[in-house]
Amino acid sequence: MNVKIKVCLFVLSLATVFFPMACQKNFLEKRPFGTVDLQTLSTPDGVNSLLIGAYSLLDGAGVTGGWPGSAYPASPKMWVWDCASDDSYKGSTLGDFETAGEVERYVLEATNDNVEQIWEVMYDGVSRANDVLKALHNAKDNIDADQAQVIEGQARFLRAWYHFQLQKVFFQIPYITENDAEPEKVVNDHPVWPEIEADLQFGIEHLPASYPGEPGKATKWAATALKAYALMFEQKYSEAAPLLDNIIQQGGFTLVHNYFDNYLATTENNSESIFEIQAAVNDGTAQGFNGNPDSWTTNPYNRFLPTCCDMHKPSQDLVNAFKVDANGLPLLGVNGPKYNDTNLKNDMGVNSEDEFHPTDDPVDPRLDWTVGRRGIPYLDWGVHTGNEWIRSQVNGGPYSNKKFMFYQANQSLASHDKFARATAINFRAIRYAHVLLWRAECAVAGNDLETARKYVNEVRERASHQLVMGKVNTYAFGSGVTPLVDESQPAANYKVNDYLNFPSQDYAWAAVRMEERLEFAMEGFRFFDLVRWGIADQVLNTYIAKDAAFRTYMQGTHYVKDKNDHWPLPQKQLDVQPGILQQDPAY
Amino acid sequence: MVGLLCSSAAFAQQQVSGTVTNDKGEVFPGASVVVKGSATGTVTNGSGKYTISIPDANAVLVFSAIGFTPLERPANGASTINIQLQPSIFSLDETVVIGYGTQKRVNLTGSLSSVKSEDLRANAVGNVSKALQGMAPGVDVTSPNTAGSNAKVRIHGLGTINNNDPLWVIDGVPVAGGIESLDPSEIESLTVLKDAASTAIYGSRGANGVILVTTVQGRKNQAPSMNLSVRMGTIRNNKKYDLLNPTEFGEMLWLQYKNSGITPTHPIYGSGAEPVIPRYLIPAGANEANLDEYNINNFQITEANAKGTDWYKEIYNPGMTQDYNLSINGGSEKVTYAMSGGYMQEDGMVKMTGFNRYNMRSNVHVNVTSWLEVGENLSLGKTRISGLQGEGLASPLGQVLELPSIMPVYDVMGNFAPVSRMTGLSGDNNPVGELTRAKDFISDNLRLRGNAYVQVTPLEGLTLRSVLGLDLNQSHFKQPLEKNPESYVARKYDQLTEGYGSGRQWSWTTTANYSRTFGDIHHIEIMAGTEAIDELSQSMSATRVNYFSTEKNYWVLSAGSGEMTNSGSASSWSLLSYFGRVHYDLNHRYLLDATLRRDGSSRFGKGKQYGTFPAVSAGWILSEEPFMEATRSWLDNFKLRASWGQSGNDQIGNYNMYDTYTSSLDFSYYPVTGSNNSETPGFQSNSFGNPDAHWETITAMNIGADVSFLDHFNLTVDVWQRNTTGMLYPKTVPSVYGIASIPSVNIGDMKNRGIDVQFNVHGYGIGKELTYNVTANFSHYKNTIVRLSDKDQEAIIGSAVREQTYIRSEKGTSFPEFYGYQILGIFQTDEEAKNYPTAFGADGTYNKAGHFKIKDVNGDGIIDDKDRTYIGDPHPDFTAGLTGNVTYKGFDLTASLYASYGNDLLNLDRRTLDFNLFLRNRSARRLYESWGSPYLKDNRKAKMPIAETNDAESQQPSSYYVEDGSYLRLSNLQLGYTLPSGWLKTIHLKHLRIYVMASNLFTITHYSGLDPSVSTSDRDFGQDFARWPTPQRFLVGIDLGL
Repeated sequence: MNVKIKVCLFVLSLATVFFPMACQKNFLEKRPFGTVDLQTLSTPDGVNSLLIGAYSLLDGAGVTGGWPGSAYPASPKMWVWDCASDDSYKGSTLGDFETAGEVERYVLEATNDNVEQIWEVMYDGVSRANDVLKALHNAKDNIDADQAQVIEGQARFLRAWYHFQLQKVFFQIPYITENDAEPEKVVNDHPVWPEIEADLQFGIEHLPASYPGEPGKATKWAATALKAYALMFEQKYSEAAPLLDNIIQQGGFTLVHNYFDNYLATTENNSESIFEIQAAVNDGTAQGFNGNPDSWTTNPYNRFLPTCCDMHKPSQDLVNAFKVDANGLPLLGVNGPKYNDTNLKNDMGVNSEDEFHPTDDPVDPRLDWTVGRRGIPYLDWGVHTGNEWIRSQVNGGPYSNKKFMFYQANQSLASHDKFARATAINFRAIRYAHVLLWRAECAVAGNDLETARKYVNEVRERASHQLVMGKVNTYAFGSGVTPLVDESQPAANYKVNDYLNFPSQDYAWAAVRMEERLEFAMEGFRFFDLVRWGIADQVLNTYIAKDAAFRTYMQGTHYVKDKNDHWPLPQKQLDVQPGILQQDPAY
Repeated sequence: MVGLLCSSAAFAQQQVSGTVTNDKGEVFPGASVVVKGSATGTVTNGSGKYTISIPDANAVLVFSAIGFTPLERPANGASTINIQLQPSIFSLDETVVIGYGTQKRVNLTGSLSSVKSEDLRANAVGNVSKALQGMAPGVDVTSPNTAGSNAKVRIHGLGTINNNDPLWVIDGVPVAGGIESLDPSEIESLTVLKDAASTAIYGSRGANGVILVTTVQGRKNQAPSMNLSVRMGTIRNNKKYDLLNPTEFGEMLWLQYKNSGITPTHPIYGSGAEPVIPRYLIPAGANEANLDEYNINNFQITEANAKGTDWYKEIYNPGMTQDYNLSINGGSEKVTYAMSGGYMQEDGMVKMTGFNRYNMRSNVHVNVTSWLEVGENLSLGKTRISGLQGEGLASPLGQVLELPSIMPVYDVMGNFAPVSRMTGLSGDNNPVGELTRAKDFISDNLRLRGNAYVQVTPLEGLTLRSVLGLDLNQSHFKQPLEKNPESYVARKYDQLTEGYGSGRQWSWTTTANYSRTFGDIHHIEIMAGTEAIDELSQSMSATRVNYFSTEKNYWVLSAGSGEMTNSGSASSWSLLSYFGRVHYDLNHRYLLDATLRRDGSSRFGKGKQYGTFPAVSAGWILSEEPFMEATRSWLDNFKLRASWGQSGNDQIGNYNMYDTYTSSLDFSYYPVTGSNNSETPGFQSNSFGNPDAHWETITAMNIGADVSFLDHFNLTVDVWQRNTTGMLYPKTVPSVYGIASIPSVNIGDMKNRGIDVQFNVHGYGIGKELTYNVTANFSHYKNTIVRLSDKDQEAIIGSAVREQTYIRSEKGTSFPEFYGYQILGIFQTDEEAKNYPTAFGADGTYNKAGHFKIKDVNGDGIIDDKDRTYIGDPHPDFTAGLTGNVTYKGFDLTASLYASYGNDLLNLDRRTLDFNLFLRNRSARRLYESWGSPYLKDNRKAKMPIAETNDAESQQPSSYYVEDGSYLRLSNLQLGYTLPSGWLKTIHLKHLRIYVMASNLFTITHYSGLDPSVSTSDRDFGQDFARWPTPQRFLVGIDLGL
């Protein structure tokens, strides 16, 4: 063949194949699969989906693409931070989650992961709430104005919630709204209570009292209660009181009959619920990320239970607080003996097969709904046999957490498998008992001691309804021993009675604060309440001094007022927002 | 390399014919015979014979073949010329594969290294990437030892904090990973392109170096030859830590209680003055148990193993390895072919794990006409990884670190002991149980890879070639898992997880080559081309639980009756490129190459897609200069080279530019209806986009010299520098923006400098009966991060291990380095401690005898997290490889040594073993060599601080974990014998060789971990934690040719 023909042929063939390719201008355009942009979500359905996404972070499981370790520090139960209170120990073994051990020992530094993680997750919640508001703005022509206000009210409630969690932990934080085009320029030059309260006020004005079929959503009452609590952090008791009265008078809430109904998946969203963090398991997730993954590691760890890892354990001091006198009243230490003058008898250092007789001293019945201890039935899992139930007594004391454990009969409400177990037990973040006791606080602050006594007694009266049953008549749990349990008898000597009077404002303060401690023990309020009341240093230093005999690693530890009232801002964030974020000057 | 031979019409002139033989006197089919300075040429036929027309009687004939030294012979009017070719050991005329073409070694101006296929085959590991270790200077190879894994190959340091993997190109087609499916026997040659002058032709994909693989080809007029090779042997490992036995463990517990001021009491060891080993672990510490009470779900009665369980022995497995390969190749005047098939199987060093591979290949090339050639190179590979092969904390090897030896493998009923359900002691999972349950895990990959091309030679010197390449893979994994009642979080149900993935990459490359010599002294080669690549990968997986039967065939997804979960994903990218290269050679003395490539990538936003990558290089063959005449007697060749060039990197994920929102069951759903088991779907922010990102650019310079002298010596030296600018870095976004994946921005700069030296000596002795060939490689580099971000505080942190991070890099450091407290020693007295800056809190409780003395780095008089500093560097001062080969009569001996010097390792096994982290295993060091140990005569010789129950501070990241990781290893040793050919003829065999080989025969190191050869991600470089140590292999093999 002629050379020229060959060249022509080849050039022609090249042209035929290259021409279409060159023309295909979008050859280099590859769009991601399975995602959308914000514009696509700016429809009524899209806005509602973003709103669900904003609720989704309430459980604290917020790190995508891997293990959400942030479920611990960002937990709505705030249990990592509660390890700094006199209620609880970090527990487990020394090295396990040692960064929370630094919270417990007040040696946490700004590089500790926990401060970083709660910061990340809460601001992600804020950003999700702001995304709702941005999409709502884009879609406003397609959404009914009333409906838009309900959506906006919820988004602003959630934004306030996430900032609130941070404001409890840090001295000052930036408040980010949908109007901040550059959030990194927002400074933290004051506590953000006014902004939190303003967002909640919008909710009070625009949210409905309930959502049929959607109990998980924030109502007008949730916004009202949360605003009242925010005001109490500012000691604005007189402003909080009318909000709380409003709930008491118009909200239609009542205390549930049984105290432990506040901790069961089967009795959630009940007449006492004002705002619950919703949980579901066995919903298609592998590890129960939509359950309460913060409890992955706070249930007991032993061969009797399918759970892990024995962290956030009740302290001896908390157990002592449940002691009552002959009248069934707590030992407040105001003109009388104090609960922690002596320890309630414990089984430290006693092996399970050795004999141990639990005390017959009278205690508040809520003790055995809150704390797992030797010689008392642990829900329906059998008798707590002491040391065998505990991962390391030396490190975490002889007690087990109990409030967020599920009944064996309710195992279907725990996630199937994998690491530990999340459960479907909703966390009652705000319930009617809170409103009553917060109102009692306001009353004490206003020296209206009778009102305070009335509400405290209402809560105490309910506590008397339900006792842990099953008197254990076996005292050594060696192999081959089947514990003898008399189901007809209460497990311990329970006693709880009303206060007949509050003789002084000091006594009333002590009574109300003690009641909040007993009622909400291990629910993450204690540390922040101590700081809010301004008594953290005196209470905690007394506690440490007594407790260090028990927990040797606390020897030499001190709580320093101001410095330890808040945790330092995360160093990583200070590094990337230089000149904007300021560290806690007390740190 | 198949020559392109044009049958330009030749006027009948003179004819020359003859026979070509090899060094052993055997006929040589397929040798090339060319008239020097023309395009006229032919190849020898199956009998080694050739006939060629020469233009005049004084023409010079050039005889050549791959692997043999070319010979030039003037015709001088003769009509018969018989030639014997000698094997070339290190030939300058050797043809080397370069990007989109070939080049003679003598004409190279860039920095590249060739690895011979025999050297790859001399390695017992059966994986091409692993076999590269120590074979080429400037190429650092570290290998994980899990069965079927690929090595991490790093060329000229770490150029980026992003992906540093080199580009693999097989038969001219870039491939999308999956090197484990390649059989080393399929490889004819392998070239590593190192400097930008060599890699710039690959533009955006060349930044990390390029590895070009050419598979086995037939030769023209080659008689069919069939080769069978078989090797088999054992693989094993005996590396263990020195751990406490049950008695010592009790002693250690008592020691640490006493040191902490606590009266010793332990649920297992009792409350006595001395620890006592009881009969039972469950019930805790009991000496009697009622076996009737046994319950597999919560009362697995378990005896203490007073003698101690050797958990390593329980999981290590002396296994088998076997490898078979059959190949046939040959060719006629118009057609060449090569076909091969292989099977390789290897047991893992951990029980019930393994790897196998099946290969098939067909390479065929047809000269349809004198100007048209078509062909294909096609391979099919199927690999299977089986069993539980992970590394790290949760893997069986991680568990072995943690399990006290007092725990038995089985309980009293013969079920797996519940190691996680004991009191006072714990582990996570019984590793033997986990391995057994995962024994049927499989991860399969079927890979079809190859190309088809058409090549036209319209004019003499001009070649046009269009290649369509395909890389298809189908992956499948299946994980049937029975329930594990002994676990602390027991799987209550049997469970099956199964998934499929597919990948498809096509590439289409069209090139034009023009080569011409003007006036005898100007030789020019021009190449221009285009390339389009498009890749799509997809995957899905699903799980169901609760299986009625665990019989093998029952395990399909539909048979499960419980919880169902599933997921799926897809990803895609494309690349469109134009490129060209000019090679100019003046008078065989002055060489010049220039390259330009323009790439468009789908990974960047509009207007940022295209990048241009230029390179120039020059060479000067001094030894050809007239003024070097005097050196000719000893200096065979002396070439100086210099190059400058740029290449790019776009390895930042496919969708960096997009702001996206996603719906995720785990993180954006919420049960707003109050349901306890169903969700309302929601959306969350998924990624922040950066439409402004563009190419990360690597500018590399290289100066090199190649020297050959005294017939026996070759030396190559390259001094290089690679500067990365506009390094794509996912600059930290302040968390006030929320969480979403962070986009990369062009903000970092990195610098690497280094030197590569290769020295070769080869020759003959004892007549010509003995040949030897020894190659030594030496490489050094220094990596520095010049800039990470516009904020100086920005740092890259390594992965957290138990909530602690030990690895960090920032401006001015290498990527990466170890980071933590600098331990200066141990306080010998309380007084010494009190006079030292207070550590870990104002109360000063840490400052006491027996605790670490930590350097006050910032000099502020207290020790806190501001005193953390850089405490070690995982980058070696140098690495070196030595490969030697000696043959004598029929015997051959090959050995390779590898050394890494001056690198630090971070031994995090020591954190688990030496400190009180969990109620788990401890090393002998904790009892015998901790400060205050009754066994230690002199506390100044203590290796670790005082053993206490409550010392959280001493286990903080510190220089305690940093060790010198230098080592020297005899990687491979092979001894073979080739039977004499005369004797073989009687049994109709051409070739028969038998050999024995061993790998990792010895290692010299001071490192206290199991193996100083540690392979990790770049970000965690040098972090040793529960990894499989390098095994030893002993093999015998036979190569048989027909």
